Amino acid sequence: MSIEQILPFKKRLAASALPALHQQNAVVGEKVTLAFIEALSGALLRSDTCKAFPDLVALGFWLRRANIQKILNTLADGVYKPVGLVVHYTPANVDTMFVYSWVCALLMGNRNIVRLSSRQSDVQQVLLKVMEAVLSLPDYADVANTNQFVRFERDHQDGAVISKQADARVLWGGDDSVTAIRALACKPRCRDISFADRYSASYIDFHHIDDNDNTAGLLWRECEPFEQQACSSPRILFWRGDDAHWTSFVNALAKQAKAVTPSITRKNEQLIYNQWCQSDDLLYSNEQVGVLNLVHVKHEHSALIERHSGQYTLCCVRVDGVEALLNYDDARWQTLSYAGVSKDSLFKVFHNAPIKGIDRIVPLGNALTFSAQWDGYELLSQLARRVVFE
Amino acid sequence: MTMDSTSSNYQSCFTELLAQPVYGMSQQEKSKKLLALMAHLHQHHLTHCSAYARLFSQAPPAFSCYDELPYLAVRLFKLQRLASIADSEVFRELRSSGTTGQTPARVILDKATSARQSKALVTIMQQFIGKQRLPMLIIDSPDVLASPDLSARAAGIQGMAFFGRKPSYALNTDMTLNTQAVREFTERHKGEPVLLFGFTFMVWLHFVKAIERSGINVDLSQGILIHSGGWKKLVDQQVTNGVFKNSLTSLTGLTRIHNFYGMAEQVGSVFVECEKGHLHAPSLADVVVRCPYTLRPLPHGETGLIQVLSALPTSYPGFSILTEDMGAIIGEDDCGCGRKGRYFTLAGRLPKTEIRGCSDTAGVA
Repeated sequence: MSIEQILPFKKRLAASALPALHQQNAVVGEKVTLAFIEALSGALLRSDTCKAFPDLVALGFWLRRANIQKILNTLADGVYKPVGLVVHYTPANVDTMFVYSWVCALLMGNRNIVRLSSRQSDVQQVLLKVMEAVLSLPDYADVANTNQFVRFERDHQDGAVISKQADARVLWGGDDSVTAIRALACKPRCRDISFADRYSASYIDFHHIDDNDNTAGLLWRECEPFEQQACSSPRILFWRGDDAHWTSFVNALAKQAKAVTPSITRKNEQLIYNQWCQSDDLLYSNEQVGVLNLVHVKHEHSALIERHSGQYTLCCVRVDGVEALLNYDDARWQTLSYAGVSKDSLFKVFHNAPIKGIDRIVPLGNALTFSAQWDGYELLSQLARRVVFE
Repeated sequence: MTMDSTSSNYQSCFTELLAQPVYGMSQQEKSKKLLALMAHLHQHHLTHCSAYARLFSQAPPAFSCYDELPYLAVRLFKLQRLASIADSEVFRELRSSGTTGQTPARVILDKATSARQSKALVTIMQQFIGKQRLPMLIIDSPDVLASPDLSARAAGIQGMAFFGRKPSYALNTDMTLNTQAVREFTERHKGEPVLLFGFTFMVWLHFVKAIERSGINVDLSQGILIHSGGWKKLVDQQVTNGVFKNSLTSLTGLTRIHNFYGMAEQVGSVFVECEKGHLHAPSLADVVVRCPYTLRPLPHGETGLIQVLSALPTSYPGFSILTEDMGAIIGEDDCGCGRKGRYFTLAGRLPKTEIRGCSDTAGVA
């Protein structure tokens, strides 16, 4: 039995022969790691092919030296050692996601094996090509030796071999996939960082919004990528204001909400969602705003989220203020993005509240911007051992 | 259905429609009658189905054209149990799953709706087969009927078996051609009309292809083939309706070949293909084509989502359904075959929605 190594170069080999399994920790060194990430950033931003893919441009920016330094600065002072081998199971369709968590692991000196999705999208192809070019440079031979990107089927027996060697596993995917992977045997002290099914919401207080066009643009920026199916894409819009506010906002939103890729199935899927929820008396009404399907929620119900599969549908809930959001607390709620309200007032409401959900509260427009604090995890410290001197 | 005024109004509309020739009314005359009936069905389901009432209480009480009719997405039958009758009145619950592994659609039938479905199917099919029950060759294995739960395939065979007599089965358990059974059937009924029924892709894969391979001589020149069940698998093999028919004609002499379009959610109101290769709406049913991007009705000739209208269902709110099938209306009242009303053609299924996002199952990866 063998698996397919994609990077640093294509090769079929037994999982047990992957070089990352046999290397020492921290062989690369911080200086080379930072240079490598900078080189990758430059390659992404310089490539003409990448310019066609906003995801790759965003990734290129995120990897710039200044941003990486900012991320490293979030780490509390202390002495950190690598955990060892980190195995990443990446999501099937958010094509760039694996790079973010992989870079976090790389920064902490770990060796990495990244299992790539077999769904070979254009974005993934372009990204892998750029990465291959950078990894093949002699300066980064150590990075190539300690980091491999592979493909194998979910039930491939070598999956168990790799899992057994992991000191940490980073699991992206739906609840079912994450549970299935976690069932694989691993070391007793292996750490799992699980990014399972989550959803997100936005809050807009129209009493403090002057520029509807700008606000609508920020909301659409969060809805548009990945067909609104990323865990941080808002699926609920909480709003405060009167009918006139809503009407002018919706007019502004109609100008923004134009899908990049037309879809022959989307309208039917929106109809099905609306009729499914309406037949259970969960909705007052729905309105079509550009490609967005806005549904006005009558009864908050977990079915609204369970049935939601992106497709540019926003569940709209009118509330009296931020405090009302506490009634919607849910462990699966990941991000709250906000506009028309200050960070301070949100802090006042949420910092002492006994909430099970909401791991990120970010200004509207930033929900999809990856940070090293994700899903309630502080990735850098979670992917390292902290050594304490007393 | 309880005997309130809506129901008696519906009943008289239905009786009047049923008395009309199946393909004899002009589109104008037919749509007028059908719309009057649909207004009663709409009221009936508003009163008797709470889910329907939540969805369509805002719709107008009567309709001046098809465009005004409310329509239910066909997938709702997989997601909800939609009934307009009390549990005690349920006569049968049809379950059909399109593709393996999917949730089946549930269609709730009472005796009255079920009887109407049978009546409609007979009336329509007789237009093509005649009133006589013909010796029948079923292009399937007899085992399909032996399975304890009634599959959609078995239900289809049972429904059609009514039109034939002394059924023979053309396939073995392993789906190979039962050459002996086929030879016996053709020899016994040499020179007399016979009826054949099968599912389109099975007729192609296990009958046409098998006869071609084995080189046996099969004379079905007096036969009438009725087939249904979707073209997807054949489209994948680039087999068009023309290729399908020509192969059958050259191999077996069969010339009377009729495909039909129908679904579990509207059993009985079937759209049968005429001699010119067009699907025809019978008196009790009709079609509208809607743009998949806007859901607005499309002019004739343009391909979009097919909305099917049926005069039959009172036990479940399925008289106007937006399917996930694509097609185009070719025209009205002027098909070369002489039948009146709308005629149309199919253009495959709406593609499956791609699920993206980080909550996607990495399982497929």
